Amino acid sequence: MLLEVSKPKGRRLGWKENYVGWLYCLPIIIGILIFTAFPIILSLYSTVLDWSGFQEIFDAKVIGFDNFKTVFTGIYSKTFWKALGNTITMMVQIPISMLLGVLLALGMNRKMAGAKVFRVLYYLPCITSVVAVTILFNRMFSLNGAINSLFGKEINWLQDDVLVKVVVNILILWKGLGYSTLMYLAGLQSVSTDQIEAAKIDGASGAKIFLKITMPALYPITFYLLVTGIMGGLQIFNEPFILVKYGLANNAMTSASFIYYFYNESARLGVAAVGAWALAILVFIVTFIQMAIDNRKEKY
Amino acid sequence: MEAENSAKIAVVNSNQKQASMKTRNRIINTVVFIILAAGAIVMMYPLVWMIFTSFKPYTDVYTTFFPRHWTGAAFKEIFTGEKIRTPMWRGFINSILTTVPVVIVQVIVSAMAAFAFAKLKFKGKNALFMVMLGTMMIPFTVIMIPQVYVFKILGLLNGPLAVIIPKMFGAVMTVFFLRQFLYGIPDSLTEAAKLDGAGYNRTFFSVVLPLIMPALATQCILSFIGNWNDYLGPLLYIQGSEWYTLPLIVSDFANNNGGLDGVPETMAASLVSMIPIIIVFAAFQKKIIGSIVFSAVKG
Repeated sequence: MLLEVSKPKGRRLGWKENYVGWLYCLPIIIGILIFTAFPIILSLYSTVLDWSGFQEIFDAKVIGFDNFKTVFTGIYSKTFWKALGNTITMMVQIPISMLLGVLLALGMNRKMAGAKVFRVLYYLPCITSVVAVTILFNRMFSLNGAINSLFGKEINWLQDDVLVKVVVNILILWKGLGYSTLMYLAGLQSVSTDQIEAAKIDGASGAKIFLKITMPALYPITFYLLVTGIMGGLQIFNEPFILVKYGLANNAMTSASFIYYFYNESARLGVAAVGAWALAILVFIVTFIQMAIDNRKEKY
Repeated sequence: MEAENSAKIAVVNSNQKQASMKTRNRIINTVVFIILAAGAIVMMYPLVWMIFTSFKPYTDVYTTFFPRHWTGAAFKEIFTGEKIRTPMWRGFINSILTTVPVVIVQVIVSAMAAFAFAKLKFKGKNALFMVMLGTMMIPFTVIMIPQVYVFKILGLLNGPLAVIIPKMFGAVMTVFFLRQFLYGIPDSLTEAAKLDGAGYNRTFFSVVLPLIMPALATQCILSFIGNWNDYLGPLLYIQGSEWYTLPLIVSDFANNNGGLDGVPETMAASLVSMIPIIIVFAAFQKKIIGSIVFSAVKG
């Protein structure tokens, strides 16, 4: 750095490169300022407003912390906490998806016919349109739908408080299983075969090799899937919303649909903003835990 | 004599052991294959049901798995019928309009920033990068509603512009990915271009861009799939039904035709809306799966 400054030619080039560097980043900086930073400020400000969204933001009345009160302890608190609880129950699939993902990856990692075809078949649901497959699940799990006909039952899947969450979990599991399988498969393929061969020669059993060599190699992927799963799970919107709309009648409203409800149906943008920041804080907590664990790992 | 015998026995034993290992392996492979195949049937069942149902008359929707009479009436209805508010062909135009130009511009703009971060030295680079990473932490749920207000101020809400313009300013995730990729390209190549008298623009457009073409293509494909399937963005930012993208049309149609007679058409619409994605996936399956594996190894 110092050396560069001492050379006159370097300084001239340095100025040019400074200018060009910022110029190349300019579009994305403008994009972030207008479409991310400015909305963040508006969102923060709107938490203290009685704002319907139909009037200009500066015409909206400042009402202090009333929105916080109504959301956390007041008239909307029951809906808010229920929505958060519902959101968490829709994360039950995360550990199941990871466990099935490991097992499937172990199977697909074997040298056998059809392993590549299986990889594609299991991954296919991941790229499908969430709208298309959620509507598909809606029709399959309806009262006279394909699942009830298949098993000869008459279960009211989508109207029941618990069963509707089971359906959402099945849907997310079905759609995401190929992804976790693929991630674990990549992890398994990164395990060095030399190490396994050496362990085999030393007489280690298959179970011991799995526990001592394979499992530690899969740890970073498990951690990554867990963190991204929780972050995505906290913000879940599409699947429950398309399946049963706001889900007010059957307790399927999530935190994200709570926010959308207060924007779209109730036109209370201040309440929506408080809900959004409450959710954001949960996301931040998960991020910080992740960073802390990442840092500790790097030390060792 | 004895030593010879025991050696023979050892050879026979190890041969037997190898043979039994082989049969054991074959048995395990068969069992694994059966389990994976059974799982694959479960995974494919909903999609196959969707395909078959879209060809059934509505009276057979839940009574048979295979269509007894094949009919294309549902497909005719969703393209030219009166039940559908925005016909599917219009949805295709809207979806193409809101994805293809977006994806191309977005990836090139992101590549520009990635080039600056990976290959140029400029003041405040690290601080800028940290700020950009910081914005990635902000959940979309926080900004999605104020964004509607921003789009209203900018006059983007009439038509599809609100789902097009913001994405043309680049995506932080793509910058991050391409920066990582550019680190793998030796600085000597860009330095050589500089020495040959190429300016920054020439270096970027005729040296760097061709070099990172494979990564750009992968990002384009992933971004295309993501944007094509996006629901919440268009739901918030597209107000006139004539500009609905395919996911909005499909969900709108499904909401208005909840009865049994609407099921084949709903399934046909769902199926048709996914055809471009399935074609892209079939064509670039290796690239798509490879990029996920790449991110897994890094993560």
